[in-house]
Amino acid sequence: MYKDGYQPVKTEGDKEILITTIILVVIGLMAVVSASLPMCVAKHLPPFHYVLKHLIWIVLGGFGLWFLSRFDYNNLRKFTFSFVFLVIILLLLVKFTPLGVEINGARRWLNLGFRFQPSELSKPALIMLLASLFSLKKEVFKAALPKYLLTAGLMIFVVLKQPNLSMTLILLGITFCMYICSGKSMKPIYIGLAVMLCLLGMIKTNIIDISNYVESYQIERFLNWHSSGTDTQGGGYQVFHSLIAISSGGIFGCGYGGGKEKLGWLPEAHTDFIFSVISEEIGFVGSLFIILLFLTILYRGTNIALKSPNMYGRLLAFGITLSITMQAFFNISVATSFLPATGITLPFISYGGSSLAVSMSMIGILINISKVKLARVARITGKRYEK
Amino acid sequence: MDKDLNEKCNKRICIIQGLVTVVFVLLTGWLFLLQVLDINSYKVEGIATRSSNNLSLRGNILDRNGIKLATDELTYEVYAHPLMYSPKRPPEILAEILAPALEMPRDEIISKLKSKKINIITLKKEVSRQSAEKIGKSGLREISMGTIKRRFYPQGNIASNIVGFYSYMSDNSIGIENTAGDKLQSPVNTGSVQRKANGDIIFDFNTDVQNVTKKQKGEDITLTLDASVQYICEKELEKRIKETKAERGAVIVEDVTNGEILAYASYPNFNPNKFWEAPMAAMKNWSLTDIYPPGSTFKIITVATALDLGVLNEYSKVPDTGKMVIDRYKITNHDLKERPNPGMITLDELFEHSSNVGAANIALMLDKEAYYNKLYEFGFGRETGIDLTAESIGMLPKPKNWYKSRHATMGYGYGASVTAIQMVSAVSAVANGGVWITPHVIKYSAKELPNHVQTRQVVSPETAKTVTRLLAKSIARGKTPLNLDKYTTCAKTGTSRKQVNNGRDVYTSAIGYFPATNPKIAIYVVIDSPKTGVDFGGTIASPLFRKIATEVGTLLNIPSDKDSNNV
Repeated sequence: MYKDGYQPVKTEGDKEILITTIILVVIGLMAVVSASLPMCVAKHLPPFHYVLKHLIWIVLGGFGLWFLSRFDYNNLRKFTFSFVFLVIILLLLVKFTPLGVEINGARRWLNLGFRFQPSELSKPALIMLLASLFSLKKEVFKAALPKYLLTAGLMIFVVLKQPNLSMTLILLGITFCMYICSGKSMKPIYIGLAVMLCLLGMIKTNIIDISNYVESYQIERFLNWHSSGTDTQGGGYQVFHSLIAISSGGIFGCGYGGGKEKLGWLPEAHTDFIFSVISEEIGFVGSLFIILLFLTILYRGTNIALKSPNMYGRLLAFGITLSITMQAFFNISVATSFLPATGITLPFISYGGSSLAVSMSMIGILINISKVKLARVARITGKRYEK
Repeated sequence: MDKDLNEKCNKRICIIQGLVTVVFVLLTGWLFLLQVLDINSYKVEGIATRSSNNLSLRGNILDRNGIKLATDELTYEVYAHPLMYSPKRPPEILAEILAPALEMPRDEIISKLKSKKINIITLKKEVSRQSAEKIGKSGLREISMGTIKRRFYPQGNIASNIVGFYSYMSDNSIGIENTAGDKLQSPVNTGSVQRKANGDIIFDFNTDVQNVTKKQKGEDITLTLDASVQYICEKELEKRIKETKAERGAVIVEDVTNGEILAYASYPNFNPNKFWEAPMAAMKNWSLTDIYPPGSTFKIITVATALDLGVLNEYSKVPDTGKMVIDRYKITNHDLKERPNPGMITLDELFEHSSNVGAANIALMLDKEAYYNKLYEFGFGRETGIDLTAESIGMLPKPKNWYKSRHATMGYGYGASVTAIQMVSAVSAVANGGVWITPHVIKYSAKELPNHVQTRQVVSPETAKTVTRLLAKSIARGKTPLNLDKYTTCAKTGTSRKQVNNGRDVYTSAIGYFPATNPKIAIYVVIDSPKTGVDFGGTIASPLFRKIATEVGTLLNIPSDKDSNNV
């Protein structure tokens, strides 16, 4: 059943990933202090307004992490559908009730006395859904497919209509990768890629008018990508100032708290563009350190996935790892103009409570998964894991 | 769990992990290019974006009554950014919005807006504040504005040769703008400061806190000029020069009691608002930089010197033979034909008939050294110290180089060359009881005054009074236009040949002061190379002197003294 000589073994849980997470959260807290203080002063808010809120979310996220690391992930399977529907309801609440809050032309937040972004929850929901789906036996898989796909499709569609293109892309990316990793036939992937290419060709030749399907600002952002130097006042403004901040940092940066771009020049300095602030203040050294931390999460997460004794755990772990690293990659790419601008947070670091709490909770699940891992054991001393 | 599936899964997970690692490595490489190598030099661009100069203004230049002669003006430049045109507002609609504010025809704006080859189009320069506010309120994203400071001279040509000009572009200046530049300039040049997006200064270790918080405006400078007198002088001078087709001219009005210049007209002048269009000849104040033989007006100084040195007294008579020859140099009176040999003449007759021979004889009576020293004391052969740029020291030869002929011609104003300001300050000294005062155009406070204005007793008060009496007598007797209606006047005309154009051109001048009982105002009129009319100071400069003196008397409300004939 398992690879020769490998048996599931109970362990303490993965320490490295916990430590990495804690380091990232601490860096995030410091960065939020540095980036939000001048803004609060300028807006006549208490100086630690955002920092305190951030701290509350850290506590909440910490609780989620602690709880989920102790909650057997196999039991999550039972709650999958109820959780997914809860998320869809929340998303619909944002879209269609006055509880939804619109910021910068996107309706993404739910105001329940505190701001909350339900689309963040769609990540774990989708991962749980797909992990359940793809870990099904071949015979059951075909029967269950329509139900699962419809639910997932509905959720992704609602997210897209918020509009939240970046999150949609991440969700689609997760779906794509998790399908591949589940070891199923590659045929649908090839067909899907072919269809995508056709669509792209049609857009290029104007057979399909893209403006009917995506918001105008999304096209504008795409067009402004890498022409940011020319349009420094309009759509390329954010990226232009982000690039200035990053370049100003040099190797060692200008010192913690010494960044100048956050002083009103760089919009969203404490949320989506916090990486630029860190880059300016700590320099290339700091940027590299953050990238290495996310790579650590990638490697530890993959390791956990590979060593998970069952398919559900494996897909869940890898999905979570991918969602965090992909989001980090997107965020840093946007800040460095490596990819077109999208509004997405840097996990653990950006101010933006729901993202932080959800990411930390997902790490909790990862740690829980790592508690049972396949290991080469001597039969006599090895402690058998009985399901 | 199926073993094969397991293996397949693990393989695919590793492939995806590898791919993600690769994109992260690529990202890190890009970050290295951006951050360490700074390939797009965003660092410099960032500093440039954040930095801006403090808007520091120069002080105003005011006349003695507070009328602005020079001030700083903020104008706006309106730019369009073709990259930011939105389909909602094509150039046609933009032009419609902008046309009323810019006061430009709509078609012209459209054609400017459509020139797509450049990133920034300058739509209009020197837009007024009101128009700029209108444009600002319309909130067009594709239109931006810049603030430009400009030195503005509200009075145009008036006093342009004194005030000069200042150019922000080249930091260039002449005239008062130059001599008082240190004061006019904002006390500290803070240079460029990095700012927050809302305009607040970013204070870091390198920011000089004291500098950046100082007031960014220079001191105002008040001149001694009276704009109305200046205006009269310039207007009349220009009129006279055009009537006589002269080359150039100057009028100086000085308050003899304190050396303040009330008006300093110099023609040609220029429009400092468009100084770049002015020819060099118009920009320089020729009466300050160029020298010329003063002619008969110098006889006042000769007589004063002779009286002060005790060679003559008020009632002395000097020989006048009509013509004389010294070292083969012929000296003749200009009225030789009417009065071939006047014989012994009194000093007032000397002034009245402007006797060259008489003045030459007086000069020859004087000791070379003593005469030279007195002239030097009168301010000849050295700078007067007036607070204007490029003053000439004139030409006063040293006594050891005086041949007899030069010694003689010195007496009637040919031996030395002077500037107009030297002449007027010397005569003002005679008017002011023998006390020479540095002429000045900036009104100094009591504290500054000793540093800039010197006084010295050149001749005794008695001598000065005597000369005044003699001059007044000579004027009162003649039928010259110098004889003013309201005031007893002391004045003298002069004509000197120019050493160019075969001596056909002349400088004609008239200098004088009034009221003789208590001298207050000295006026000097000099016109260079008049082409029409008789070539004597009496007919070219005197009417101008009369006009200006009359107007100045009225403007400055100087009481008439014509009835109290106690001269």
